[in-house]
Amino acid sequence: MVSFDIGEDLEGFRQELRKLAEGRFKEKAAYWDEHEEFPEENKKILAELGYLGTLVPEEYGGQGGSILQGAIFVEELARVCFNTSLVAQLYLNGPSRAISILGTEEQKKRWLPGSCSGEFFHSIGISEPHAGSAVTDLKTTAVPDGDHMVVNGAKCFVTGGHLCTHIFIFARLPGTEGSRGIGAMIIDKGTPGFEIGKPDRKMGGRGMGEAQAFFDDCRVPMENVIVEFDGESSKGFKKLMHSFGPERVGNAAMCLGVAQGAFETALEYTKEREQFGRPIMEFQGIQWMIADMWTKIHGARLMVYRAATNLKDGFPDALDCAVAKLHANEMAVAVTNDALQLHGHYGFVRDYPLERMVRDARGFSLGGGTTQILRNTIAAMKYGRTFDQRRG
Amino acid sequence: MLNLTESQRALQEAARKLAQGEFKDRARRWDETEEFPEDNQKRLAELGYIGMSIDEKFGGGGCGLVDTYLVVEEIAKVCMTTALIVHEQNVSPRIIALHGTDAQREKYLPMIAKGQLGMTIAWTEPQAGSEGTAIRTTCKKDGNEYVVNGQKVFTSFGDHADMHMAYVRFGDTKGARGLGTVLIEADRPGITVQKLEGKMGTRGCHEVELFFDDVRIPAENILIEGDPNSSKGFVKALNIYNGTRVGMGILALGVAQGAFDMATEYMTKRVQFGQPLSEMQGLQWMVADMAIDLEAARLLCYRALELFDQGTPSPYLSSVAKVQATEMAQKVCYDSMQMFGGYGYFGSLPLERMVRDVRMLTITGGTTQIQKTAIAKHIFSQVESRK
Repeated sequence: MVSFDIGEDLEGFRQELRKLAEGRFKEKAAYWDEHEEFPEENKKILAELGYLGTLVPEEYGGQGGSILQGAIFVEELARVCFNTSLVAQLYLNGPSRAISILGTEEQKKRWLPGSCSGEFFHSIGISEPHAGSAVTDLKTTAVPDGDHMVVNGAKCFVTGGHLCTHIFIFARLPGTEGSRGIGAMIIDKGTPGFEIGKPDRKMGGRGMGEAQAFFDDCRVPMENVIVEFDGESSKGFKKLMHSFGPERVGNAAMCLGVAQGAFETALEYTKEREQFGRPIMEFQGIQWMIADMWTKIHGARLMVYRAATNLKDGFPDALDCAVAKLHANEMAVAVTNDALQLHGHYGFVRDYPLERMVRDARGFSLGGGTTQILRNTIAAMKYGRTFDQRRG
Repeated sequence: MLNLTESQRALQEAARKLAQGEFKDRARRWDETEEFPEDNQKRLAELGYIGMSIDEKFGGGGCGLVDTYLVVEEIAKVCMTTALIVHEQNVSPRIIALHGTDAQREKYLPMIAKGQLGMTIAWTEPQAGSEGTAIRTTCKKDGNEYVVNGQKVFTSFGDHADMHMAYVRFGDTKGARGLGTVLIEADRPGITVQKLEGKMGTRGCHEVELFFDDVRIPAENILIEGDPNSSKGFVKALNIYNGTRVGMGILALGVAQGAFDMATEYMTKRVQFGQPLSEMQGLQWMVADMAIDLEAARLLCYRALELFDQGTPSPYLSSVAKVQATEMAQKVCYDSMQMFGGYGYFGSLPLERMVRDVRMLTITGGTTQIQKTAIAKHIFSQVESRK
């Protein structure tokens, strides 16, 4: 059994983060949403304090922190300012982690210190218009041409794409199908043939836009390839998915934070709000709603921390990640929704943070593997085999 | 399935055509710009949908509640903000029709029916939310006139109204005793309107705070006079609200059905893993669950409305219908959005708006929690009466 006493060091880290978030990020949490503005100043603060490199090995400018530390990090930020936690999630569990794990010595030296300092902004492009849950249907091609790869295609839902200095993309060799022939590379923003669209308006997480990326005969130097393209095997794709396990832990940990923030807000409000001559917390029905909300948060937290600590060869177990993300995603929707309900009509207006929290929480079960895809994964692992999702 | 008459079917079809043909494409605009859908309101008035439940002798459509809400449902499928207009403008005239004087009926009902008199219902106050009888706004007699003082909050369409139907307290009373209803023209001196910024959904329907500061109204504006010694005045108004409650259920039903229709249509076109989403059993079962919830809500809501039309309203069934439909809609809209994957989260599709719009319905018109309290009270009073 894993113990979930996170230890003195991590508890201290949590307190430090909580202080930072409440002191510096809380006041403008509504601002980024309302103005649909990227929290650049918060990113700078995180960079200056060395937090952007929390999980990057020390020799490349980071802190070499654990996956659990990363989870606590994004959880504490999401409790106060979801948009800032999205910045942290991208830096901690996005491309820089993939580079740390899969990159060559030279690639690590080239990209990681700039990520830790905040000078670089690595976005990631996986989804395509016709390859959402069926990620191996991706059509963006990479064709070797001398010492370059020539990339053609389009990516959607590129988080922070309009702000990036580099993009990490999945692509495939032409003529390959399924998981075979898939590899990955980093493309510099200024590379000719690489364009980024304007972000579309979205329901929540509005401080971090998502954009489309277009590649038109984009020539990328061979030394930018992070995972080799091999038309004969699925190894490259498997490596990539493996390296994104911690991303799911981070996604689930943000759910804990958003739900915790909404829960605490509701707890305080139900103490103060009086109806029928008493604070509404005096009503048993309300007490039970609070009890159910806490039970869901607590269960999700145990699952997320387990996924973050039950590592094999340094990686979280895929089943642990899937169940933690599924449960945490649905928990966050339910808990923020009930917290809004406990505020009555006030929950529906911007003077209170609840409507924002509900909108923010809604995205978790769509990004980073939908809750439906996670169910496929869980069932496959329990049956001990994979089920072909294709017919015929 | 509902047994609709031929004329009800025709009414439904006409509303569907109007909604799909004219309101659908504009729905995004009211949300994005937070504009009141003035054009839609004009169209609704022209076509007789505003006050369609008003008696024909006052220029209304003479329709029942089932008829009226068939229209509301069709409009809610594409634009909940516009559907709210039809709903609101068919609640206040019923209060006037039932409890007003002849003079009030003759004066106001024809104007409402023509869409020339926009009414609000101003009930909720900062301290009087679920506890509806905690209102503090007072109405005191002064010579031949009355003077109103107090504050309202979350008054829908409050900045586009010509008249407020306000719940007020007559005399120095507490609780339900002494409550009554008055009509206050929006341009009377002493009224301040403050728009509440940043609603989660139905953003074209502005909610306002109303401040009444020594607002003087003539005696003929008293709709239901409060009696300091009884709660009669409040009960009269409350009976109408039982209808409102089901109205919230129908709005929820409409939005949910609209989202469901879009999702199921999309599922036959969206291909992943080499097949349309509609071929995947996990998703099929999600769709079946949604349909089961939708059908149950539809039957409950229209049954509750039918009882109104038959003159035997059931507050109990109205509460049950409201909770079932409004809670169902949260889930069905959520799952419909889920079918669109990441695309559902973006404003280029209407799903995220529908999820935001429908969220208010478990709160407004009596929260789910307050309905449950009323439902339980009814159940145990039945048990007691059997003893």
